[in-house]
Amino acid sequence: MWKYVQRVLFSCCILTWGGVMLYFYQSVHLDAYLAPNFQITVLIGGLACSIVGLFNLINFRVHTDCHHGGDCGHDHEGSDLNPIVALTIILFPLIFSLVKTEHKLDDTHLAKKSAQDLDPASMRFLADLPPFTKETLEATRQKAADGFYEMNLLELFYSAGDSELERVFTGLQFETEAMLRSEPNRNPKGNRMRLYRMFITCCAADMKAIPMSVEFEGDLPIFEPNTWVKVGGEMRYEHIGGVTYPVMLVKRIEPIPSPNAGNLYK
Amino acid sequence: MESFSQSTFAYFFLSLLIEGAPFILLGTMVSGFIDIYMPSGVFERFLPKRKVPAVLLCGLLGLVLPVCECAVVPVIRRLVAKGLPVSCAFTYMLAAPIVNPITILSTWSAFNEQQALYITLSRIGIGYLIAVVVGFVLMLVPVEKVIRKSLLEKVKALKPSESSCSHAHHEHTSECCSSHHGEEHSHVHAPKPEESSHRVVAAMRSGMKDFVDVAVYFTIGVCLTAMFNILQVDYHDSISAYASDPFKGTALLMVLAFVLSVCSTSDAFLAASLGSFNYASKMAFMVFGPMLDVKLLFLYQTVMRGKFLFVFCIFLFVAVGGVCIAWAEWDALFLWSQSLSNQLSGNGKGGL
Repeated sequence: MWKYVQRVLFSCCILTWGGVMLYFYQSVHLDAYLAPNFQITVLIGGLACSIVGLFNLINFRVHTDCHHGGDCGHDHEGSDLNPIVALTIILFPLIFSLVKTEHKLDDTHLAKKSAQDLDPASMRFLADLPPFTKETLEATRQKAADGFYEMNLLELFYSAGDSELERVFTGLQFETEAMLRSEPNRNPKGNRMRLYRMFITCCAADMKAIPMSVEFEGDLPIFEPNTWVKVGGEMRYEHIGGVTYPVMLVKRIEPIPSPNAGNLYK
Repeated sequence: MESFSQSTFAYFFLSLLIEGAPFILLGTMVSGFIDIYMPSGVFERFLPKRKVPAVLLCGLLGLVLPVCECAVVPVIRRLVAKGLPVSCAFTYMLAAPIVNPITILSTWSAFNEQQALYITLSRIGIGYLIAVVVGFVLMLVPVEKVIRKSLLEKVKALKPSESSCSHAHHEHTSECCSSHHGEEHSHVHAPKPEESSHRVVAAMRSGMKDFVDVAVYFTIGVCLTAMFNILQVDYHDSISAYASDPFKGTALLMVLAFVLSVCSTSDAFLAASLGSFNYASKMAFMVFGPMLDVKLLFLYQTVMRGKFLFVFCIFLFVAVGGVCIAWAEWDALFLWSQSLSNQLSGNGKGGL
């Protein structure tokens, strides 16, 4: 009897995991949890969990024999842990998280994360930037109406990790979109703010804030913290303590709506 | 703990869970079918008679018999009891959680866009190397000093039982399932047609049981990792100081791997997320974790003697750390050779 109960409980446990994965796969929040190339595994995993769970649930009364004989010395269903304890450990954090999640970082965590400086050179593997010349840049990148090259903030950031890209990009004018906040570091004259985007490599737990300082010639613009802006300006690089940081001298800045969920973490 | 927030914990927990869960399921289902469908004697039947080639081959067996570290300990315990040389069994035990298609696939996926090929091949290579070295060392150590008394008694009792296990009685004791009985014994393993479907049920159940067993440790690991990622913000500077040092960073992540006890099928996702650590530290995390962690420490006690286990743990810690730090030098060499290759091929600045 207890074996039947255990089988039913274990089946329901797998079904729960399957249900959670399928829920997230069809949810608009999935982009906030996983990088795009991992999302298909959620669908496959969710379906597989559901099939395995259902199969075991339907067959929970079926008597089986492993054909190794009764003296095999192993029990295919025996577990080191008490099944109830095991299920509690598995399901309690899951249910707690489903109830508590807001599908994003809390404000305190976001503020601390976006204030961190990163060394572009130490993270070179994250962006497989191709070798650029001014000619290839011209040929492959779109330009705004005023001639600024459109480029993702991540690419501008990682250009500081490659001396050749730094040489090509220095003095050129680029346009990029990101969130804006005060600059907590490397701001001796108080005329800088910080652009940043959150970037997911695999899942939200590895989320990083990719930062770039923006320098203003006049007064600092007044925006709510973490407002999405489109910024155009000239690229420069500063070398402090053996680390190269990108800095953009701002020529124009305007608030924009937040990108859709699929583009928030790229 | 000032940055701890329930919503961020929940957010991180769910992201890690839905990322790793499909691989947990895949691994445990494969394990379930192996458990039911594969006679344990298959190992010995195909192994070379000489020990050195046998150890070398056992390091690769995970490619065809993929099991994670949770499943492999009970398997090798059974195999040792049936006469598989300890050196071969330990080599398989240490290598199989790393040198197997599921772990390879997950490592490749986790390090996608982070030199996936280089990292994956390096992980396989280092895991295999450590496992084989342990196997070679064990060839020189008397078996009495390695395995538990109860297991040793089964090994010693094996030879008489081999001779006495005539096929006339057809009792499926654990010894009889061994390959020592030759091909003629195989007919007794064939199920009746009406029982075939029941074997599928048994395999699915075994997989389900493995899934729950592994999911417990995985869930605990994910909770700790989510906490670690939250607290990392507060201790960013301190951790960065460790992370930038190959020795301290490697030691820290090996301890973390030991504590987290994350399944080898999905630990690469955690390693890839530890952005501030260098690749030697991440590699040590991915090689050491599948070989030794909190849950394995308990499982190993079912196989090894206490004194040997202590030496075994110290040896693994030093060997994995040392090899991974040495490998990091090869990482630098790799980057240098890449840039040199670019220069030789016409500066390599060819556009997008």
